[in-house]
Formats: sequence, C-alpha cells, structure tokens
Amino acid sequence: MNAIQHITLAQLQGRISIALAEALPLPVWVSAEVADIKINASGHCYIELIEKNEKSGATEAQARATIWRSQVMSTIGRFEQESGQRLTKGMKILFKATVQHHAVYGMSLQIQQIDAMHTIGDMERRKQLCIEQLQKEGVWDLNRSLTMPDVVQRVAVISSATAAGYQDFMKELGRSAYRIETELFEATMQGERCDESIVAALYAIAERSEEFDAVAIIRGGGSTSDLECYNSYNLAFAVTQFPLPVLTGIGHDKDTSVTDMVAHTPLKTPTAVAAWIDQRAADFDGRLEYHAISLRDICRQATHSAALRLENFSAEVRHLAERTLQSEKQRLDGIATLVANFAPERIFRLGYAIARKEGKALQSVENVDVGDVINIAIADGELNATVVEKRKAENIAPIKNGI
Amino acid sequence: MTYKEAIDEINAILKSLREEQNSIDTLSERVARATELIALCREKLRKAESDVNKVLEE
Repeated sequence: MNAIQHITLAQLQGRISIALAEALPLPVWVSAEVADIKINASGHCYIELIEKNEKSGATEAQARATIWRSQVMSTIGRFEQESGQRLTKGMKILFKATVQHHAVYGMSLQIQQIDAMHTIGDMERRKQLCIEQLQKEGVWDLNRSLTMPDVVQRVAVISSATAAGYQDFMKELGRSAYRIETELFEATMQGERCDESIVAALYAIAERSEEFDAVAIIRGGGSTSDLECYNSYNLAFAVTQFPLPVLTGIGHDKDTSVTDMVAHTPLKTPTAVAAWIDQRAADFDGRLEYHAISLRDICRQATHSAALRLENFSAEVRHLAERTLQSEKQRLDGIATLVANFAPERIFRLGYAIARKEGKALQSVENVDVGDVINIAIADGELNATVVEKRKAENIAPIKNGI
Repeated sequence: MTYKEAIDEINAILKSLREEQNSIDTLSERVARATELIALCREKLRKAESDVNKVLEE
C-alpha cells in the first residue's frame, strides 16, 4: 500500500511561517485603507485593511492587522496627535508593520507606526478632487449667489441638541436685542457618516424652506475632531444646491472644509454665527434709523423753505396792497382837486360872474336884447341889471353894466 | 355801491364837467355829488387799508 507522501497542516503552516520570515524578515512600510477598526475589552486594537481598485472599487487585497494594547498609545495616539484626525474607517494610512504568521490564526500584520503625513496628504488630495468636481459641475458658487435677507430672523439650525456649540449659539442669540427665531434639526455632527446625517437634515429643511431665512450648520466645542465629513462631496453638493443661504460655524481654526467653501457665509464658530446674525439685524436697524432721521430732516427742510416762501409771499402781498392803496389814495386826491376846480365858489373867487336871463345861464349874446333885465351872480350876492348895449365878439370890449 | 361803481361815476362827472357846454346849471349839484362820492371812496379805501393790516397781522 503506497501511501501518498504528505505533510500535516501544522507542518504546512510551519513552512509558511518560515518562508514568510525569510521573505519579510524586517518591518515593511505598507499603504492601505482602514476597512474596520475596533479595540476589544482587553485593549488590543484590531484593524481590517483593504485595498480597492481606484476605478472599479473592487477589493484587490485584504489583511488583518493588530496593535497590541501596549502599543496603542504610542501608535494610534501619536498618529491622532500629529494628524489631528481620529483613526477611523475609510482612512488611507501608511504604516510600518511586521508580518506574523500563526498556525491557527493565519497571517496578520503587527503595526508599529502610522505615518500621519500620508493620511493628511490623502485627505488633502481627496479634498482637492472634491473641489475640482464641484467646480467642474458649475455648482461651486450656487449657494453664494443666493441673496441673504437683510434680516435673518428665522433660522433653521443643524446641530446636535447636546453639543456645547449649540448651547453657545443659543446663548449668544439670547443676548441679541432682536427676536431671532430658531428651529433645531438634529443631526450627528461628527464621526462616521455624519455627512449623511447632515444632508438628511438639509432635506428636511428644504421641504419647509419658505419658513426660514437661512440655515446654520453648527458644530463646535469638541476637542480634536475629524472634519473629514465636511469635505464630503455629498454634503458640499447638497449645500451648493440648497434653496436658502447656508451659514457655517463648524468650529475649527486650522483648516477650511469644502462645506465652508461652498457655504454662503462661512464663520469660525457657532458663537460667531449667532453674533453675525445679530450684527446683520443691528445693521439693518441702523439703516432704518438713518432713513428715519433723513426723512425727518427732509420734512423739516421742506416745511422750513415753505415757511420762508410764505413769508416772502406775505411781504409781497403787504407791499402790493400798500402800493395799491397808496396809488388809489393819490388818484382820489387828484380827482378831488379836479372836482374842486369846478366848484362855483372857486369860479366866483377868480372874478367870474354868471349871467342869467329868466333863470337860465347866458352863453351867447344872441338871446339877449337891449332893455332886457338880466340877473348877475357874483361871489357875495346877485345883481339885477338892464342891458343897455349889445355887441358881438368881433369887437368885444369890457361890458358896461348898467345898473 | 362798490368802490368801482363810485369811481366810474366820478369819472363820468369829470368827463361831463370837462366837455359839456351846458353844465353851469347843474354844476354845483355835480360837484357836490362828486365830492360825496370821493368821500365815500376815501372811506372805503380807509376800511380796505385797515382790513388788509388786520389780515396781515394774523
């Protein structure tokens, strides 16, 4: 009986171990994506590593990695301190590891060090891609092109209800002299999938967009934080498409996220957003005050100039009236003098006399005959006389009055 | 009688005084009428003046 030559599984695993140790005797630097990460009860950290095809997304390689409890602080702690990011699922990392092989558990990588710069660079690269994509699609300035109302009085707030940043925001608004109405749309503001949560809140607001003037996306008060989701294409795209102007107070000072870049008005912190809203209302109030003062001034000036004009009118009326009265007086004086000239007393005073025959004043010698008795009126009485001679005017001579 | 009517009548009298040949008989009558009308006009003028002053003072 010919038994086929073979080795046992344990022997095979032993050989693999030896081969691996010979092939990879020293730690190697490896780049991969974190597919999952957990720290178990005993404090050891287990990471699922993956490499996907850039284009298709299909998994091309996969491996398990371990960071022993004693190494967690020096490896993960240092990485998080240097990158400012929490080590999470989806992150691209570059790490130094040794390859271990165990007859029962198979191959695993023991991570000794993670390079923060690689992850930062990768994030930066993805951020740039996201920016380029939004610009290429022509949506980059869409939200900024919306008109911010002069007074932002009804604010839809996206935040977590318990966040310190939200409390700061409400406290600052409470100090405002203006009544600003807010409605909270709760969302998860950090960690994995927070972008989806914020986008869901945006959708909820969009359905009631006519009830609000603007949206404030606020977060803050956290310590080190992952801002990765604020560079998410989906979130940034939703902001560009949003029907209301978006204010951000995401609470970071080092870097500006893509969400901030596409928002209508990006501000540093939730408190700054509240202060901005208050200031905008105050500015508008100031403009109203200015217009009120201008209006009052214009009215004053108008009434003043009208009063001046009336004053002029009144002076002119007085002048014209006086002139009319004066000229009328002169006219009457003239007339009076004229009339006085015709008064009989004056005529008599000048030495003239009126001769009458049978009571009628004589204006011609034709009607008078020699021997007629005529009556002559002079200044201080009358004379009756008899005509002794009559002559026509050709050879007129002083009249001889026969008495 | 208005001021204008009075003035018109005075002018008419003056015209007759200037032109009419036959004016001696009614002369004193017309002069008296004109004088009376002039007095009336003076009175009206005085009243107008004081009314104007009163109104302008208000």
